[in-house]
Formats: sequence, C-alpha cells, structure tokens
Amino acid sequence: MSEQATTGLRRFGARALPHAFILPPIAYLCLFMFWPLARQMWMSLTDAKLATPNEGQFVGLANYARLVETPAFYASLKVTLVYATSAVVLGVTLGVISAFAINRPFRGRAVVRAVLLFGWAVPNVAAALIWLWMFNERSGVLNQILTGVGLSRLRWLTSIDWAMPSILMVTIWQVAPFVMLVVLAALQSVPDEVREAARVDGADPLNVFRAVTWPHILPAVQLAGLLVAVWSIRRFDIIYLLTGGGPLGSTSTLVVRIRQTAFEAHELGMASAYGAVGLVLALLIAAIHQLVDRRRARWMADR
Amino acid sequence: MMLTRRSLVSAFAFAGLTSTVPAAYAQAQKAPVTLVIANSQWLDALRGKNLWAALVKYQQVAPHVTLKQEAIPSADFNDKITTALGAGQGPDIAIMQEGLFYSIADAGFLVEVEKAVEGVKLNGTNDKGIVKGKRFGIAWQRAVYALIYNNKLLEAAGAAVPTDIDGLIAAAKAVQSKSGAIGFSSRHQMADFSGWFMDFQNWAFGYGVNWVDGAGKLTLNTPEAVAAVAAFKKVYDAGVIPVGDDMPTQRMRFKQRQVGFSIDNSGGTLNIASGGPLSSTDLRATPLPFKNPGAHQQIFIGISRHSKNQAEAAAFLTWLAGPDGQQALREASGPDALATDLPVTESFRATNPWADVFAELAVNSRSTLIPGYEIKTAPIMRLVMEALEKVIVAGANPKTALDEAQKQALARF
Amino acid sequence: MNHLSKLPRFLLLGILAVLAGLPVYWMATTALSDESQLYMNRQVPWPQIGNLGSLLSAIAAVPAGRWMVNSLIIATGTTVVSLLLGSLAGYALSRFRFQGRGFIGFLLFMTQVVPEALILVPLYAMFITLGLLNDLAGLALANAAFSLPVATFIIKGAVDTIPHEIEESALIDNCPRFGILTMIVLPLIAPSLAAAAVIAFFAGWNEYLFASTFLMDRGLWPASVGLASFIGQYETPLSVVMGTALLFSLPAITFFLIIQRRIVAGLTSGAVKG
Repeated sequence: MSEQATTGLRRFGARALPHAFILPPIAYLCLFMFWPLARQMWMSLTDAKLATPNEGQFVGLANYARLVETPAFYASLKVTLVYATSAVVLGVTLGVISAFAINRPFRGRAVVRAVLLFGWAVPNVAAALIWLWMFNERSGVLNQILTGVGLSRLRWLTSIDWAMPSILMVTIWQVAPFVMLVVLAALQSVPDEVREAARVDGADPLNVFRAVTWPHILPAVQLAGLLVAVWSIRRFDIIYLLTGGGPLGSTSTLVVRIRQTAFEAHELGMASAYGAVGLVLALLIAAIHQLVDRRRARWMADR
Repeated sequence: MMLTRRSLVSAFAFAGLTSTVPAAYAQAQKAPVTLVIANSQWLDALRGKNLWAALVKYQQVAPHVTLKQEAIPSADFNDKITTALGAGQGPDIAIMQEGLFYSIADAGFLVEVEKAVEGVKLNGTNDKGIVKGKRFGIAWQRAVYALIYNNKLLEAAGAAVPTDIDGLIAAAKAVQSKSGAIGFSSRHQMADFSGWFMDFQNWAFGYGVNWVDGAGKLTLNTPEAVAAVAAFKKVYDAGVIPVGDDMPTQRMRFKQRQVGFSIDNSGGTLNIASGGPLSSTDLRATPLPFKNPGAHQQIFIGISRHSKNQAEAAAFLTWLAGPDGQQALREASGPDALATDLPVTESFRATNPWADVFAELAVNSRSTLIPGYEIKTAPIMRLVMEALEKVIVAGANPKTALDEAQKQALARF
Repeated sequence: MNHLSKLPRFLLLGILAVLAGLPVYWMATTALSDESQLYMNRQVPWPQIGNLGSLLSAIAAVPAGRWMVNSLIIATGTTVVSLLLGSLAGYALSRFRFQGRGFIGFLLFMTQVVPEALILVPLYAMFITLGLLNDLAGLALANAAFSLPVATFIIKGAVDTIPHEIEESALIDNCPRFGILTMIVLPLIAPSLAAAAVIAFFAGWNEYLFASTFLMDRGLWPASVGLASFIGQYETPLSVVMGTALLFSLPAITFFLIIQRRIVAGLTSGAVKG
C-alpha cells in the first residue's frame, strides 16, 4: 500500500480509536438503560396503566399538571432533599475518617477492614430485617441499651421525629464503607515518594496532608459524595422495608411515591412523571457538582 | 328392540365406535403438559406444603399433567403478576387476593371459566368472581375476621370476653397488667399498609361504613367512618397495642403466649394456633366487638389468557371445584371457607375450637373492596389510612382528617 | 496516614468497628437464640452456640447453597461486564479528546439516578424480546447497566492521576492503544480496579427488584430473593432469617478480601517506585 494511504489509514484509525473504545459501553447502555428510560419517559406523557403499559392515551403534560397540584409531591421532594443532603454529609465524613484510620498497616488490619465493610456487604433485605429488630420498641437492642443507661425508650421508626434519623442511621451504615473504599483506593495510590519528599523538606504532618494528600484524594471524595447523593435519590428497599414511607410520609422520598403510584395505584404514566422530576433533580446536583469541580480545578491550578 | 341381525351389527358398530373414542381421546390427551401455578402461599411455612400436596393429587387423575409451582413472596406478588401479565407472560394459573384478581380480570387477562365449573354447586364466596358479567375465577379460600384471644391469659386476668370496644380495652388492660403480656395485637403502621387497610375494614364495616353512597359516589367522611377512626384511636391511646411491631412479629408473640387479644383472619389464626407454644385449644374466637358484621379476605383462582394450556388448566379447575379437589383442599385449608359448602373436618374442629366462630361469621362478612371502585380500592384506602395515621400519630381530629381525605378522593377519583 | 499517632487511631478504629459491626454481631446473636427468648424480651446478648445445630438444620431445609451459587453467578457477571466496558470507557474519557465527551460523561452520570422501578416495565418487555427472561445472565446484564458507569468514573479518576509520560514511551514504540490499556495502565490502577470490582460485585450480589421480577424458577433464585421469601405473610422466623442473612453476607466480604490482598500485594512489591 502507498505511504500516503497507510498514513491516511493510520490517521483515520487514530481518529476512530476513541470511538472504538467508547462505542461498546455506550451501545450497551443504550440498550439496557437509555432505551427503557426513554420509553418510560414517553409513558409520562400518557395515561398508561401498569397492566396495560403500551395502551396509554397521549395526554401531554396532564400528569405533570396533576403532579404540581399534589401536596404529597412537594412533601416527597423535601424529604428526598433532606435525606440526600444528610446522607452525603454524614456518610462522606464517616467514610473519609474510616479510610484514614485504616490506611496504615497493622496487625489484624484485614479483619478490621472486613468489619468496616459489613454495612455495604450485607444484602438489603437482611439489613432491613436486623435493623427492624434492633429498632423494635419492646425487644430491640437499641432501646435496651437506652433503658440500660437510664434513658427512656425511643419510638425509632414510628415517631415523626425519629423515623428519618433512624433511616439515616441505616443508610450511613451502608454507605460509609463505600466512601471508605473509594477514598482508600485513592489514599493508597498517593505516591509515597512525594509524601516522603515533603516530610524530608521539613513539613509537619498537617501540612503534608493539606499539600499532598488532600488534593490527591479530593477527586475521590467528590466522586463518592456525588454518588452517595444521587443514590440517595434512588434508594428504595431500605426505606420501604423499614417504614413504608411513614409515619405521616416523613420518610416518603420520590422513589417511594413512584412505587406507590406505579404498583399500588397502577398509574404508570403518573409514576413516570415523578421519575422525570427525580431526573431533573439529579441534573441539578450534577450542575452543582460541575461548578464545585471547576472551582476545585481553579484552586488546584492556583497552588 | 328386537335382536335382528341389523341391530346387532349396528350395536357392535356403535360399541366399536364408542370404544375407540375414549381410546382416541386418551391418545390425544397423552401429550405431556406442564401447568405453572403461582401463589404466595407456597412459601407459607406450615400451610404451603399441605396446600401443594393437595393440588398435586390432580396428577394422579391426569397423569400427563405436571403441576409446577411459581412461588412469589407475598409482598411482591401483586407487582410481579401484574407486570408479567401486562407483558404477555405469567403463569398458567394464578391464585390471588381479591384486589389483584379484580384488576387483572378487569384488564382482560383472565379466561372465562363458567364452562369449567358447570354443574358445580358454587356457594356465595364465588359471587365476586364475576367481573363485568363474566365469571373469571372461582373462590380458592375465604378467610373471615374475628376477635381471637388467649383463653388462659383471659382467665388469669379475670376478664370478660368483650363484646364492644370499651370491653375490649378493659379486658386488654386487665391482661396487660396481670401478666405483662401485650393486651391487643393489631396492625397500626403505614409500613404494613397492604394488610392494614384490609384489617381496618373490619372497624369500618363494624361501624356501618359504606365507602360509597347509594348513588355510587365516594363518601369517606361519613359519621360512621369518623366513629370507626375514633374507636381505633381510643384503642391506640389505651396503650394496649405494641407500637412498632409489624403483624408477623405480633403473631409470633401471640404464638409465644405473649398476646391477649387480636383481630385476625382465619389464615392468620391458623398460623398462630400451630407450631408454637400456644396450644390450639387455648386459642378462642368470638365475634368482632362491633355492631355490624366485619370483613373477609378472599382469594380467587383464575386462568391466564396468555396460557398456552388453557384447556388443561380448565380441566384442572373442574377437578378443583369437584368433590375430590374440594376435599383435598379442605384438609389443607383449615378453617377457611371454600368455593363449595364443604364443612370443616371434624378432626380439625376438635383440636381447634375457635374454628366454629369463624364459620358462623363467614355468612355475613363483607369484601374489603369498595363496590364500584374495586380496582381503585388500594389508593383510596391509602387516603383513609393516611388520615387515620394523622389521627393516631399526630392527634388530628378524626372529622377533619377524613374531610381532607374525602377532598383528595373526589379530586383524584 | 501518619498525622495520627497510634492510640487515638486505635480508639477511633475501635469505635468505628463497633458501630459497623454491631448489627452483624446482633444478627449472629439473634440467629442463635430461641424464638421464645426473642419474643418474650429475653434476648441473650451473646451468641448461644448451643443453638447452632438447630440453626444449621433449619438453613439446610432451604436450598441456601443453590441460592448462593446463583448470587455468585449474577455478581460475577455484573463485575466482569462492568470492568470490561468500564475500563474501555474510563480510559477513553480520560485520555482521548473527542466530540461528545462531556455529553457521554453526563449520560453516564444520569444512569445513577434512575431508580430500578422506573425502567422495570420497559426492561421487562425488552427482556422478553431478547429472550433474557428467567435467565441469570440477563440479570447480570441489567445490573451492569447500573454498575458500569460507576466503574467508569472510578477508572477514569484513576487514569487521570497517571502521568502521560508512562504511556508516551509505549506510544512512540507504536504499541497499540488497547495494549497500552491492558498491559500498562490497568496494572497501575489496580486498587481502583479492585474498588470498582467490589462495588459491582456487591451491587450484583444484593440486587433484589430485577431478580424477583425477571426470574420464574425457584431454582434460579439468588440469595436476596431467597431471603425475602422467608418474610412470610404470616410469620418471619427471625432466627433462621438472621442465620441465612449472615451466611449470605460472607461471600461478598470474602471476595473483597481476596481481591484486595492479591492486587495490593502485587502493587507494593515494587512496581511504581522510581
């Protein structure tokens, strides 16, 4: 083949290469995620029922109009935001602390690390059942501990004050290990030489942390925080199994309402409308993340 | 007829013909068929095995048929069956609670079964199996509600068998203070919604509530409804309900002789009476402490329109409704009412004295579905139960809470 | 981290371990209790080994082994698909500048917000067409759709921190990109790969909704569905459930331990220095 043709081919190959890499994952996701999602979003413009998902009549934005007039919708929006924010702040904090605590080798570290992972490893159903039992007012261990130290019993899952905190407790127990995992991976790839160099230069541990470690793990912390936030919007099993969205809707997030609308009232179109709102919410979070990310990049560049 | 040669020949011909017809029929029937039967009861610890063993007897009658279980946890049953049928899949035969039965019959997913049960003396439990004028299912079991109690605890506390709400509170309190056991077991949380609204129908019906008026309009805030909500609140405030326990936990406690009273259906009662320290003779039943008859949970059995073996499924249904099937089912169903009037077995009654009360109450009990709004019963009752929750958890006024529910109901339905 | 001296660190670890481990410890305690103790508020706060025999026979009464094998198949499939496609996507997003890069990143992010319930019905219909219903492979594929983006982000983040120089020498030697990815880059980001693998594995192991909806045969049930089947309409035999739940949590943790030790050991034995 001629010299020109081969370079031409190579250049085409070079241009096509990114697409060759990215095409399989994207094609896969289109099939298993985006296409079903698009269909479901289409359903939000119809009055499709669960039993007859394909026979809905087009109703335009009627579902959304009804949504905006439903007080339960706003309540669930508020609950979702409170839940997501709290889960991120508390979960990421605890996860980062855990990562730092476990980073240095010591005897029995593998065991401790495994224990810290439990919340993430335990299947949702099992987690719900054991926490339900621990939260039980008469026979649960948490109330037994409380009465043991002289405090009064708490209505963990049945009072408006404590239902959400209880759910958050379980969520953080499940989510902090994930944050720990992600941050730990980043911590362990902090190049030792850089840290050594900084220390040799006389920097004290706090400054080493600030100058070397923190910037290195910040992307991981950010990623973990972002994922925890959006997963909170998505989380269903634990909330539903523990409180069913009660009491008085104090733990009814968007997804709980989606489930009730789709599978109890069989209104698939309406449930999709709820889902669309959830997606918009995620967009907002993504936008905020972008902003923070850009600020971070600028901060990094300034150093 | 004269035994002429001709008649002899025709007689032989006829005999020959009729003898080949069953043989040909049998030949055609030999093709092996599998029928998938979906039910959440297959997973019930004690009952599931017995019920399945009862059904499997059909395989002896029809050896070419293999019955296969599709076991789905009860919490997911509605969702899964609806999704599957909506997509053209699903089992051949489904055993489902009334609410689900109605919605899929209404959506046209079931096959008419009138011919399959021709000539069977069906009783009143099958009435609601007729949807839009056609019979889409027959009764599998009907579990009526009653007030059950632990007789030993009652006697130890010196309390009287209650006949009204105040009596119930007094007796429950007496049991609680005397033995430390729980006074009254009842669902009371939204987490238990799907069971709670059915349980609550007993209170509603007991106070004479009809969720619709004569003209078919929804009336959630009638004085009777307010009275029912107020009565539940009264019991809740009396401190006799184990707040926070779900119903399975409460039933386990009852089994451990830790509960005085409960309002439960015959299925739940059967579960309580078996497999635990509570002896089935110590468990007693009495009519509900309300003026009017209460409710029942009804399960129907129907054939899916998507089934590839509708004829075989219909044949199975014929057997089930016939004397052999009903007898087999009766032995496994304890005190529940069946599609035909087959009385509870003597041996069962002997060890379970509470069964008779349930049989009496089954005569007048009402369906938990709202007439005219059968498919919408769950979301409508969600409004009612949310109102009730407001009343018991936040101390709202029953009338105001129900008025709010009524407003939302009229807007949505 | 060396800015924390030993004692406070161990104290902190102790508290964290107690918080993280209490529920699991309580699972063990509950699993080894008598039903009567549980429901009469007399639960013994330590595991009573004497009940181990009856617990094991109760667990043996259900096909727990079969369930765990199914979970293993699903979880492994999820992990493999997520890592394979995630490596491709993560590397591409990190190293290549191409059109639509930001958009693709955005798309990947959006997948993380979608509740499973929202795509259940259309996915079910599609699975019928593809013949993936009642199939463990189908579940792995459905789960991977959610784990793949996470793996992508983690891998992208890790590749971002690798200096370009390492690849450049290979590029100059005309090594194909794909080879660079598999032979140079992936080994360097091993801890992140391990993290992504664990996340995908756990997601696949614990998933419930798709498993319960898409599977018909009881013999195909994974652990999550098997466990849920214990929650009867009438009763939940708490001690057996807890015992089975503990059993089901173990393989996931074991997987993590195996992965972590192997790959981290490989890493610290000399690769990145200098």
